[in-house]
Amino acid sequence: MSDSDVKVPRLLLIENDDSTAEGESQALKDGGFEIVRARDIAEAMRLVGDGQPRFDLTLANLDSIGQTALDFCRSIKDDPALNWMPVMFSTRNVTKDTVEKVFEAGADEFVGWPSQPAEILIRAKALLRKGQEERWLVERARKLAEKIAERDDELDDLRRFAQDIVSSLSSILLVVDSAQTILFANAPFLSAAHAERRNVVGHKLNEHFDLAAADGNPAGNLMRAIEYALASGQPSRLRRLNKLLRAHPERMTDVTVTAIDFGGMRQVLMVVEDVTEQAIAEAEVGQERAKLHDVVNAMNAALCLIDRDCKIHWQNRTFGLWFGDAFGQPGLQAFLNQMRNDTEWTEQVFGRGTVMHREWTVFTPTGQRAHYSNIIARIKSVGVELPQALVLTQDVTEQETRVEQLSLLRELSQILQGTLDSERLYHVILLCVTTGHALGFNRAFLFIRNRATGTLDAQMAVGPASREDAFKIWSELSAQGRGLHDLLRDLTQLPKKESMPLFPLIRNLRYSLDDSSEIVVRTALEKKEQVVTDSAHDPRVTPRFRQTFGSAEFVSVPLIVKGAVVGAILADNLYSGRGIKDEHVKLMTLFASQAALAIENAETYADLQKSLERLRQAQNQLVQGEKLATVGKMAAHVAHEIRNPLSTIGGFAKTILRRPDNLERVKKSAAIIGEETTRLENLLKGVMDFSRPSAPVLKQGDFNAVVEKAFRTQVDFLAARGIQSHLDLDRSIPEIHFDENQMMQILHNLIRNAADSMRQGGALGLKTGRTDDHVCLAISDTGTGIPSEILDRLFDPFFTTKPDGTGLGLAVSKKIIEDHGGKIEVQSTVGKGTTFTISFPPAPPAHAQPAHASSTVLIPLGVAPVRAG
Amino acid sequence: MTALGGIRNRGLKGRPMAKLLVVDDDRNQGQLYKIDLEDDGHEVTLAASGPEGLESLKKSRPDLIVLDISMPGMDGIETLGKILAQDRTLPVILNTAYSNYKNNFMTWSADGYVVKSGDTTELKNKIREVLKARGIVS
Repeated sequence: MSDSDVKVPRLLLIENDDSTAEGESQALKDGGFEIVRARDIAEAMRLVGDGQPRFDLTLANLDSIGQTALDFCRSIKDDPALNWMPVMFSTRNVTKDTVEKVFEAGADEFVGWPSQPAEILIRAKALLRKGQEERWLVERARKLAEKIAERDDELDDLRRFAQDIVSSLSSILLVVDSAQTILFANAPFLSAAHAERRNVVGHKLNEHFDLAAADGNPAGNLMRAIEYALASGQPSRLRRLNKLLRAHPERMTDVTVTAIDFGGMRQVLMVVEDVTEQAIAEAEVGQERAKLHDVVNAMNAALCLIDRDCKIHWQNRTFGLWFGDAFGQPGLQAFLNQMRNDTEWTEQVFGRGTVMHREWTVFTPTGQRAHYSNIIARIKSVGVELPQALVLTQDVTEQETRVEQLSLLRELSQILQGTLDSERLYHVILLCVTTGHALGFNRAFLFIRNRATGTLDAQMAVGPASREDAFKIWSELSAQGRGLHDLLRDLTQLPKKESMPLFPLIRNLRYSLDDSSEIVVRTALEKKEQVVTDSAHDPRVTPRFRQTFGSAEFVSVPLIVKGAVVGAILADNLYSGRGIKDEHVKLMTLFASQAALAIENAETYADLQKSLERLRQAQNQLVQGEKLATVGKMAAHVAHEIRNPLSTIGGFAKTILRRPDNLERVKKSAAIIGEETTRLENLLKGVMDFSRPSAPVLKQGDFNAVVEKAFRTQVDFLAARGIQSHLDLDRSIPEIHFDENQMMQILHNLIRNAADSMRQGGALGLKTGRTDDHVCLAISDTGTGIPSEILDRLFDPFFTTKPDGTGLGLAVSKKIIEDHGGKIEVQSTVGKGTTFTISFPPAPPAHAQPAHASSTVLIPLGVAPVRAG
Repeated sequence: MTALGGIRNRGLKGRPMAKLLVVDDDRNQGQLYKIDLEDDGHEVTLAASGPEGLESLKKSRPDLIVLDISMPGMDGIETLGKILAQDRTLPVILNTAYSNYKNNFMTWSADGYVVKSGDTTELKNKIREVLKARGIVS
């Protein structure tokens, strides 16, 4: 609904003549027009002004306005904002010329004057309508133009956007038509192709691309892709094309081909990416991965990935070999059982991320033992919910065996060296050879060289007597997991060799060392180990031997010490049939040297024992002899002591008899006889005192009392000798146990001795005291003193420095004192004096018996004096 | 033996057979020898120890020495050595209770070795023997 429909149409009337204007406008006004009058063009121009559609129509009088009206009309028609407005001219001169001019100026209508008012009105209305239509059209066109302009802007933006994208792509972008003509190529392509746009756009695709470049897929070359895209409209992607770009055949590319509709036609959009580096990297990674894969699988270690529940998510080939196929299910079970039983590791590994090290032993159904060392570590698993751990398992059975062998050897050597009893040693040696995984022979026999008979005697055989026994023992051992160490530790008592199962085989078995046909003998003679793998056909094996031992395969090693053979060990695998390997023989030989040493040790020890025994006996004899010698000496002394008085008595008796009438002589002789007799009596008394086991009769009493008593007894005697004597008694001494008579005896003896040393007079002191709980008595004199060499012998029986001494006084005194549990000591300085110190313990000795039985010798008196010598 | 010798043997006083020195630490033994040997007609000097004997030697030379071995201090063997050192020709008879000294070679330089007994006969015979051998008595 245009405005002009509702609005009152306005007409611009350009007329300078009023009456004419009046006349013209009257009809129009009646027709519903609003009239706006302009007297001249200038005013009209002013009124039209800025192009706003103020008027719907213009009527101009050509006559009154003139040429300028035509100009005016022209200017309106030239103005695109106004040229829709109809212009009508009125004139009185309707000539061909003016009509031409009017229409040439672009006017739409003219009307001759005067005319019927209705005619102007009709013409005006027609023009009005036309003008309105035109205006509407113009308006519309303007709006369209605006829209188009907008669209153009948008398009521009899009275009720019697309260009930006396209130009920012590092990939090559091409648009190609169905004839494979390049319609568009982006900058990257141009630089890659080293071409200019004009050499590219409009050129064929195959000038720059090898359309046959393929990705290995038979249908996968560029040509086909393009065809497919064009045909189906579906995109396709070619990967890793070689030599696609003619300009750079060394580059590898990925191409994506899509169909697009462009300009109403289906065209192909190609995106080419340079994946050379990628491809190289991928190849490298692939190689590395392949290498890793090979390594992982070739590794002599089992790898597996497990989760917390010990479920295996992945395993390498070795794992399968060890725990899958080779072992069979039991193997895997055993492994998993170990994993599950050993629960400590799960928390450590999964919870704390510790790397755990675990070692397990698994027994195979065949009784083989396998030892595994495992390292378990948590790994970062990406994209997997459950955390996983990698278990690296190494078969350390061999190392373990070796380690065990070495430690076994070491322990064995300790055990062996510590075993000195021959029979036990033999047993241990053979146990070592048969038990355990190190050597593990089924049976072993020990031969020891008998030097006396020149033979190798079978001394010991260890092993089961039958296959059944063998199995029983193994399964026991295996079940208990016990090895040699345990066995030996537990063996406090080894069975006697006669009771051993294999004993019957070796009873009385011996080989003469001259018989080199026997392999055991040969082993000893050649001092070299012998390995027999087929005893039936081996010339070294005698029929007798085969019968005795019956094993097809065995080894015999010599026992050598310091180059000499002490025996041999024979070992076989009769029951298990397990082959005897070099390493076993080597180990046996090593062990044999240890065993030989141990045997040598034991024998040496036995010899030592014998020697020791002999020595002891010799010593005993010596001691006996010495005792006897002492006795002899003492007897000689006594004999001498007796002889002299006796011969004197006899001599004087004879003298008397020769001249009995010589009274003088008789008296003299008799006196001497009496003297010598007394001397003999004294000697007898002294000897009896010494030899008779005179047990003291102990009574508790005050020692001071007896000292005083002895003193009193001697005081006159001492005074007569010119000896000053004094008594110093410590009243605080405790009571002791003593035999009073014996005490008197020794005091008498000591005092007399002291007096004897002071022939010219002197001083004698008796002093009692206590040290700790002992009571002591010191008897000191100022006599001649005793030289040190005599001091040593002072208490020896029969030792005397006095011409008429018996030499028994001090010996007896010492004995008495020792019987009381006390001791006597002497200190002396020659020329100054001597001090004897006696000390007694508070309590008597447990048994009041002679202190040293050996020093008490019963001298058989009554026997004729023995001629010593 | 002449009657003269026999008379001499009966110990006529004033005419001793020989001068004897008896060395013995046992006084009574010494006395015994003195009496018995004087009965034989000898003149007997007693010494109670080795040194005493040597002293006596210096004073007067005996014809023969009877020497005990087991004496305290200087024993018979040592004394023997000293005597012979002084006078090698002196006849010495060892008179001892012990027979084992016979094995001691030092005793071989003595002219005789007599084992003591109450019966002095052996000693007297030996003395006579040695004196005769030495030509001191006939």
